[in-house]
Amino acid sequence: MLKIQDLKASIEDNQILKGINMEVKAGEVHAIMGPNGSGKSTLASVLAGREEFEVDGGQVHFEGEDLLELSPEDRARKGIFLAFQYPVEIPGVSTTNFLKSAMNQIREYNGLKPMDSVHFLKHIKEKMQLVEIDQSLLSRSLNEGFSGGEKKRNEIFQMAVLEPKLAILDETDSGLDIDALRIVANGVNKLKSADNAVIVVTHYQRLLNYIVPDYVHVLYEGRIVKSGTKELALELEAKGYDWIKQEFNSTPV
Amino acid sequence: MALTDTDINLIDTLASKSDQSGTSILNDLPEIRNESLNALRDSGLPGNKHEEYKYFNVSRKIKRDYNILLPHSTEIDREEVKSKLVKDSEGIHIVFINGNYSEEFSNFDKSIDGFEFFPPGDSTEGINQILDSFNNQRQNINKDPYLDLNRAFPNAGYAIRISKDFDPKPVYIYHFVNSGVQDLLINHTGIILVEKDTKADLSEIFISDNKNHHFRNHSTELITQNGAFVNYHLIQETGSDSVNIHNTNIYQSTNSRVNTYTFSLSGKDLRNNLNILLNEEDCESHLYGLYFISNNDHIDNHTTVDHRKPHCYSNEYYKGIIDDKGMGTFNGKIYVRPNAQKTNAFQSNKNLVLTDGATINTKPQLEIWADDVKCSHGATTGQIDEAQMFYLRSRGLDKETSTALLLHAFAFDIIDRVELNHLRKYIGSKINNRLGYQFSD
Repeated sequence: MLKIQDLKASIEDNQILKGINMEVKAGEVHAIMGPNGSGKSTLASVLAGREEFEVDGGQVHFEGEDLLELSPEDRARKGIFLAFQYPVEIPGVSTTNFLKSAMNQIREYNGLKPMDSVHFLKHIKEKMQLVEIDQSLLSRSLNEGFSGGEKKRNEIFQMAVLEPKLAILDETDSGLDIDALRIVANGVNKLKSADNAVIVVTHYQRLLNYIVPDYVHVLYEGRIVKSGTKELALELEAKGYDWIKQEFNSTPV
Repeated sequence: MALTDTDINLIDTLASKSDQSGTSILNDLPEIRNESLNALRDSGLPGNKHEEYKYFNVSRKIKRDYNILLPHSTEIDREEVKSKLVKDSEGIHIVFINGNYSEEFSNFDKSIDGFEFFPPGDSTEGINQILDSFNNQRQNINKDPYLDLNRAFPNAGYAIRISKDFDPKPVYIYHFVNSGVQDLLINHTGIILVEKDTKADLSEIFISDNKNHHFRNHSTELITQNGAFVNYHLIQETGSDSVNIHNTNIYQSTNSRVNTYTFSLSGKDLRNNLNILLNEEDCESHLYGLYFISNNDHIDNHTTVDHRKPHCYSNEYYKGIIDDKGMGTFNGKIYVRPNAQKTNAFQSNKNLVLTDGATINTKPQLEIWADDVKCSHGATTGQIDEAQMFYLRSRGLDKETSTALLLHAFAFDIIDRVELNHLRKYIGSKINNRLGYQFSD
């Protein structure tokens, strides 16, 4: 589904990603872990198409197509979804209002007829239950005055509505209390199928108790320095990141 | 300000024609006309050195000879005029075309309780009270050379009196120009008296075509008596070859409340001077404004809130979108006079500049002589927020839709404050069409 080869990216002449290689297949859950500043969120942003980041080299293919050539909206229309680490507040724009248009632009791009209001409402009602989010929240201005937990739940709600093929969760666990974490993780798990995939970017192992990854990658200084299965996450939780850093720093590049 | 030869020229030409200009509501107040003419002869019209008009110098666009005889246009597209009225069957609709009152398109009838309307020439008894109350109050308002021009050579106008018996219905006053005549000058004066404890919803709507150069120089004088509550809306869609100046003077009495809403949607050279005089205690005023400037339009909004007495509250909130090579000015003056203690006065102006060629000049100007007051002001100028833009695009919305959505949200922050449903929809659909915004709410 997603193939990243030697991806390099920088922001304001500061190289953050120094050659990422990774492959995600349909049905898989990948976790990307690593210390602060290792490039985790940059990778998520570059995949979603944030323009502040300059891609300096490498390739990313999504379902065989060159992803880096596509605008952010076309990536979304092809089925990529980024759950933001810091969802922005947009006064005057309600979640339901913009989401309906987004959904229909995605459908149009994929040759489907627009969904009418009745079906759309039914669709979002279902998804609201999934992430236990309230109607009143969705008709308010997007994220304005939302608590941290409400913002993150709203991200997962949007993901549920848009039903992406590849969801990238950028530190969705940060700022969540244990109940909210469970709700968010439940939502993600219920949406999981053999046809879609999830990349979970996280600093802590905590979320991975709920969303169990098939693969765990450790990102350090812009490279994936270690890959393994879910046991690797437990090991990191127990031992911290220092041993990874030491191992990496003693290896000649 | 020095008087230029061209000013003298214009004044003399207008003076020589003024006997043919027809009737005005100011005919019965000759002292105002003389006063204004003298002021005009002293100072002329503002050039680019005039502090209040340094960004709005239309002296070269104002011709030296104007037609002041208002034409009864024969080429009215009746359906078009009708299509531009607010769809409000409850409302009182009063239509002026090229400055002339048009009975055909208006639905005013004399049987409405508590509502009197006087077109020019109608000098029945009731008008005197309106003129007197205006004449008693007008001294304290800012001087303005275009207001002098308006009063020196008046050729159009109306007076309205609304009293307690009025069962509040929205009042819409339209000013169409579809001049087949070159170089028309309309000096229009509307005088509105809202009596004690009376509620009124008033709108003045300006629409003009682009056929010929014309110069509209309007003034609206709104006098509110004790306890009156007025919503006054000004909606402007003026032409690309026209100069439009609108002086609005509002005089508030004890315990009155006035909300003004100014929507400037298009105009090659459009200037608003909104003056609010808080002449007595316990007044409240809200000033809302939205200007949307594109092409190479130039729209200026100058406001003055003059706190002359204690215990008044004013709050001003203007927003602007400037696109293409548009240019805008916001100048907000707040005066708090020495004895206007316990004043609360707030002001905020926010602008979105969409292109490199667009310009906004924003200037808050607070002059406070009293010491026990709460005042604040703020002005921001920025571009569309990149983070918001990326967020929407990452959900699958294209750039155009995302931009429309963000501008819609910015503009409707003001539009949503309009209390009248029909009018809010009327303005809202104009903005949405302009933005290409197709969402349902």
